Amino acid sequence: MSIETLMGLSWFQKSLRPDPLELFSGESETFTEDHIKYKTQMNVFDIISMSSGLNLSGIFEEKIVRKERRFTSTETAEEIEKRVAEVGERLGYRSKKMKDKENWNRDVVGLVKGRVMVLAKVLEVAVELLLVEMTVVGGGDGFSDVEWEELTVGFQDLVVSWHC
Amino acid sequence: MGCIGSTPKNFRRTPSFDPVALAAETPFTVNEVEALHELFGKLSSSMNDDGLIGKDEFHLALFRDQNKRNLFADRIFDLFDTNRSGHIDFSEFVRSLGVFHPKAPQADKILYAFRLYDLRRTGFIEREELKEMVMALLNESDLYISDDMIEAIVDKTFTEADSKGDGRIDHEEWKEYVDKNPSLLKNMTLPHLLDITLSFPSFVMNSQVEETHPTE
Repeated sequence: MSIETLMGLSWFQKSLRPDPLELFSGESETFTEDHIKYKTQMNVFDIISMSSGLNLSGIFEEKIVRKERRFTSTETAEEIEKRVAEVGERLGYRSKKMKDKENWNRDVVGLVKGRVMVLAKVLEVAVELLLVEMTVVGGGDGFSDVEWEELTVGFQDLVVSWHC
Repeated sequence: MGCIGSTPKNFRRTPSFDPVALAAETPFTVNEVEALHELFGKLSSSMNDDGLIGKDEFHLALFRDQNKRNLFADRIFDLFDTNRSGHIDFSEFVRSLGVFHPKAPQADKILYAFRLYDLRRTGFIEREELKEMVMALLNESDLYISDDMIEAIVDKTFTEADSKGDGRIDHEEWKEYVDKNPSLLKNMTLPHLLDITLSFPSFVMNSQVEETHPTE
């Protein structure tokens, strides 16, 4: 992508013109355009935090049970959300659209089955490169590899690569 | 001092430690320090039994791969190894893990993360260091983003964080930035540390707390 194209993007232009309200609101960009309501833009430190070298939980875990998995995708947020919901429903989950109260009430897809909920959050690493963060809530320590496989095989074609 | 001679075999090679002192200086209880000692024993003997965690053993513990090289794991290792001996001893292990405890003070976590990202230990996070870290992450993840894009992302974050506009992020600016972006500290808390006595039970007979008179 060229610099000119980049300069034309709304979020980039927004960042060059400091909005007095934003400076004092303590919030990151919240986009109002409908087509990107699922995405929250990551800053550099968010991106860096994805490193497996910063995840010390490996020191404690004997068997690999993971609460969270992440994958990158070049699909649209809407397509990802739709597919995750579809796959979840096929596996007996109920899909719900929820609000992430700790993160500017952004939209999150929730898959609920009994006491277990899997949340899928879509984050924007860069334009056209999204990061989907799936977290198991209430399912003990997380899912085993087999359980993750069962869930993710349905949308594997959306995945560019897995990161943990 | 502890009485190594009278305790079971898995303590043989590890130098004595004072769980009460370590518990006093960290958010851990004495029992938790003893549980950490069990864990430490495992990690420090995985490749050689010298009672210390070397770099390879550290990588083995994190990644299940002693040969994996990772910029961030190296930084964590350096922060654990406070006396720069090239190895992590038990008290360094406990003190650093203490910062990751859910009950550790936020200020400690904020400072630890700052020092983590201050790659060259100048007391500031410079723009080049930020870019270097992003490149390292992209490399590690086999992700490709164009250099222009990387520059744009780094610029944006840097301008947001460098509120004094002096070309580098100091500890104060970092504190303000984390305040606005609390998710940046999520790696700094390990919920596992609350269950440590369940995962690594140390049996009552090992407990040094009950020793009042060291046997010589």
